[in-house]
Amino acid sequence: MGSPASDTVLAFEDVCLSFGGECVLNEITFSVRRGDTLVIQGAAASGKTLILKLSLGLIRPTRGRIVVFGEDVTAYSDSQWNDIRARIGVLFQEGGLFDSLTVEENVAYPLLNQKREPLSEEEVRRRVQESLDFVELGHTLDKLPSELSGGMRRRVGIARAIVTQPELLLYDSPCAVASASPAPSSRSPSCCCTIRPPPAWTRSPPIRSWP
Amino acid sequence: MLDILKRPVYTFQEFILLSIAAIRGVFRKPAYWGDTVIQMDLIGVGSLPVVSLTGFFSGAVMALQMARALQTYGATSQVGKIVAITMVREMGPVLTALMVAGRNSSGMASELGSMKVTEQIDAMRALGTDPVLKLVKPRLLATAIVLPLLTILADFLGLVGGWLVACVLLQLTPGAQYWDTAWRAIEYNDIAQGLIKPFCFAIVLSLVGCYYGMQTTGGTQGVGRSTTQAVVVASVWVVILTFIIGRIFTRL
Repeated sequence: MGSPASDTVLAFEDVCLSFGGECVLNEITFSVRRGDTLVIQGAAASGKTLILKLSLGLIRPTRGRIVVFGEDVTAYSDSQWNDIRARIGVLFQEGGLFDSLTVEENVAYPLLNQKREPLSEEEVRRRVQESLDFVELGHTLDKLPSELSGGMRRRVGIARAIVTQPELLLYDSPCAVASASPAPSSRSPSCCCTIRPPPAWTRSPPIRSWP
Repeated sequence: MLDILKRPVYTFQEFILLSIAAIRGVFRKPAYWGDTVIQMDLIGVGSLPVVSLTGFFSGAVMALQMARALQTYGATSQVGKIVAITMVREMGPVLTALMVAGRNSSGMASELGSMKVTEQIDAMRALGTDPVLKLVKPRLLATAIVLPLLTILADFLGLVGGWLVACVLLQLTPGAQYWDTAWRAIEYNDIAQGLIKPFCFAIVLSLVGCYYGMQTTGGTQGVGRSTTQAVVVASVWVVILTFIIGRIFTRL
């Protein structure tokens, strides 16, 4: 197995995925280097979300190889994946917020539950506040996700994705609800993998100006 | 032919895999005691009214229906014995389990199902938490702890219900004799099967509820479907298991 270039963050090599004999993804190959932004577009049900789930190890490919941070993760178990997942921030299509937890607890969840050096309570609170301020929702700490609008929930999802300052950010349809202008129906921009060096997110443009 | 069998076999295989993961999870960290206590409150304290009522009235009905049959033989003094044996061996465990299946297996399936369709379970895995440990284990433990306790309560209230009907309403037998025959009728074998049954039911009820929840696909409609399936499958298994366990104990 040839080791991929060290600055490759995410690579798919001839990845195929089939459910019950039906091929859903066929020979997907791409690679993303540190600092790159990759946008995957496709018609509805063409498998964009599946690519995101494959990149997180939530499902396993039928064939092919997936490399994340230079490690071949194709056959990793869930516990091995957890070290990798701690370095990835993710926004799910539906937001994936825990509706029994407040906004603050939701955003703090990755800081408290992923494998990393334990942070002090103040540090967790500071980073949660910082991350929520970035999406302009710093005043919603005590609210439950059900009390927020769809667009606000999406932005809380973004805050949760970036709170750990991950090396790889995966967004599933980040503009589906947040954007004011409706996307063209057939080829909506759906799965964005945004890859940034760790501290850069604080300098990114505010969410408002996204397409 | 094989295609017809494929689906149930696959479902059974997935259920067994989840069960193994959950039971192994009981011995793995993190423990999530807080979640377990919350579930015990939801399942145990929450089911108290319905379980008390079912237990009380099933004992009362037993005494009422048996009264006539026993009068034929002039054996009305034995009513306490009959109520005690039926309550402790069968009615208490089975009716309690059916009530908890209706209340909590459905609750687990719909709660976990909603989490599944809104990607919360995927998010949980992506954020480094094992959903089996965080969601299934507390429900399994909580049900396994509280169902035997609920059953004991139902058994006792059933005996009280039987006493009210037999001694106060129909005056078939004096109260002291009722309690004496009831007490003498119960053997260790009855108590053992009366407690092992709810423990086994609890494992099946909680795992079936969680399994159908975690398998949910297809939006809100899917959640409804999982909830129904969970209650139906859990209830049927309770009735099958009570026969199997009863059969084992009658041979002892």
